[in-house]
Amino acid sequence: MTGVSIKRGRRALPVLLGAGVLIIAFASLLVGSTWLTPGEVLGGLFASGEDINAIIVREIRLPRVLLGLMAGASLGFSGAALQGLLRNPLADPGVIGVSASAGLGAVFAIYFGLSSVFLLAVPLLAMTGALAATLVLFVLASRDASILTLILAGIGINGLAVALTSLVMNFAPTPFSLLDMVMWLLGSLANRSFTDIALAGPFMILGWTLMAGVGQGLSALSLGEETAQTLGVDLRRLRLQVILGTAISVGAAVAVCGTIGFIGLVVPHIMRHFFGHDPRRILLPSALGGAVFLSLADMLTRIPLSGGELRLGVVTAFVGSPVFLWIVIRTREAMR
Amino acid sequence: MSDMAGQKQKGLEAEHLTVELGGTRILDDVSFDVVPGEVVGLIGPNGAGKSTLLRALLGLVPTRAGHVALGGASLDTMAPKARARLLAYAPQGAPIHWPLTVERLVELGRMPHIGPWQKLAAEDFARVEAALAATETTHLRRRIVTSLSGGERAGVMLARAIAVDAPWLLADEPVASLDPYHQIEVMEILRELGKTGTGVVVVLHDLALAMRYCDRLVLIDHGKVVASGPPDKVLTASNLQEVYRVEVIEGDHQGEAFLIPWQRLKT
Repeated sequence: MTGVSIKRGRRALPVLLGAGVLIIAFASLLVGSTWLTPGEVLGGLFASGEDINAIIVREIRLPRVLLGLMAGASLGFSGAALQGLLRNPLADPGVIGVSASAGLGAVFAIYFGLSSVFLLAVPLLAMTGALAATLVLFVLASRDASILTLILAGIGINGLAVALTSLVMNFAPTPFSLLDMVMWLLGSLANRSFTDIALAGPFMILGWTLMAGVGQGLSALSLGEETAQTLGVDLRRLRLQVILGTAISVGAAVAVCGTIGFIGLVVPHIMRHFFGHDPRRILLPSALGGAVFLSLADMLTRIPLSGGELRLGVVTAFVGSPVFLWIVIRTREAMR
Repeated sequence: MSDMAGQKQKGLEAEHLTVELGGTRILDDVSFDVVPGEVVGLIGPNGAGKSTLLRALLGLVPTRAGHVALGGASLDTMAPKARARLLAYAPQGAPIHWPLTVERLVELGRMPHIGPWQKLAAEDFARVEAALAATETTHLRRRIVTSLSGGERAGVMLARAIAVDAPWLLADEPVASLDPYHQIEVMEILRELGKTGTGVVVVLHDLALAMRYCDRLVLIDHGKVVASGPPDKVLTASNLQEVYRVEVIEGDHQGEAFLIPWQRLKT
């Protein structure tokens, strides 16, 4: 049997993923409009001088790379946790309506021209949108609402946010602001600074912290809600942790990066392929995998194109959907 | 037998349980108890309230009146994990949402014993091994649960509940849809658990199995306890006629009584 070798491989995989995150992060620091050698990047990172390389690496590339890693980890982690909670491999952080609400906030900020007055208006309003949606979900989840109620509420919130976003875009004051809105919604990590990290970072970390201890509960849920309860799982608490953790971390990620789809859906699937279906065992790998996936996608957006910048959400969807289809076809036997 | 009163103190007791679901009264003032080492069969027609009683004992349904106590301590005030260590549950036809291996599934039974960040210890693995051995499912350990046959799956699900190593095991129709070989196997496992001191409550539809394998039977109808006591005192012709509306054939095989439901009573 191959059982032993699989086990050994599985133990090594988180280490490999961790190493992958570091390698991708460094590679990502190398890619940009100015060519820097690996030595120059390292020098720029760690040398004490204030030369041009240091400014490029520390002020321009580092925040972008860090934000990509954090946002990717938020999306991957949330996707895995949400799929575990809903016991549905098709769940995605998008279904609870938080991403769309963040998008609505951003579009509002652009509509009223707040972004030209105050630089952080877009992420701040996006965050407000995400938090408003989170609050609705929180009220529902703490009232002991069923999973189905939460999902339907999420679909409702999502639909409303998308409708309002369309409305705002419909009455966009100028073609330029409409373009701004569309571009924001397509997602990007370009020109992000440590201010964005300071704004969204604490929320992402708060979200991760909320979801940190949910592994066992999610594994127990494999046997259904009643059996999980008889194994000592506090269902209401578990729901609150996952829904709030997802809403807060994904809301914060979307607020500074724009809408980025498919990572929360696809990454847990890829991880299941390597780590098995136990929900607990794919949480950390999905977070690391999400960080790698988003960073790779971000590197692709930095390929210079004549038509302008390739947007991040476009790349993740382009890479994510074929991967998703491939996985669905390969695993349809196992899921039956 | 002299310390029967003391044993009852240690028992699982439900007093005056009343449960209403969706405005319908499912359980009506049900009192019920099990002592350690006893295998108690809950019997009654479909819709009598057997499963609801089991779920009320586990705290899975809100009770309108009455309470459940373990060794004199109320279950309502117990922390979920503490309760989970005392009462193991083998539900009927439970879903399995992910294609886990048998080993992983049975290991879930150890969850009440470990903290959120703790890994399974040697003791936990020993319990898992013992549960797999008791249900004769050790050879299935690397199989994916969703690919098992009905009989294999029933054994594995029971192993999961046994792995909890709780002093009480509540099983909801564990022999439903099993072939005779596996039905008898499951009943033997439950009786074996009883012999080692576990208090077992098992919901059964098969009256012949109930008669042979249970120390005591509790007959429920329309949410009330109709009869309670040794199998031959509960499965009387008149009880079966009134509650089940069937006529049975009674017999004797090597000194053991058996019965077969034979025909419906025309009303």
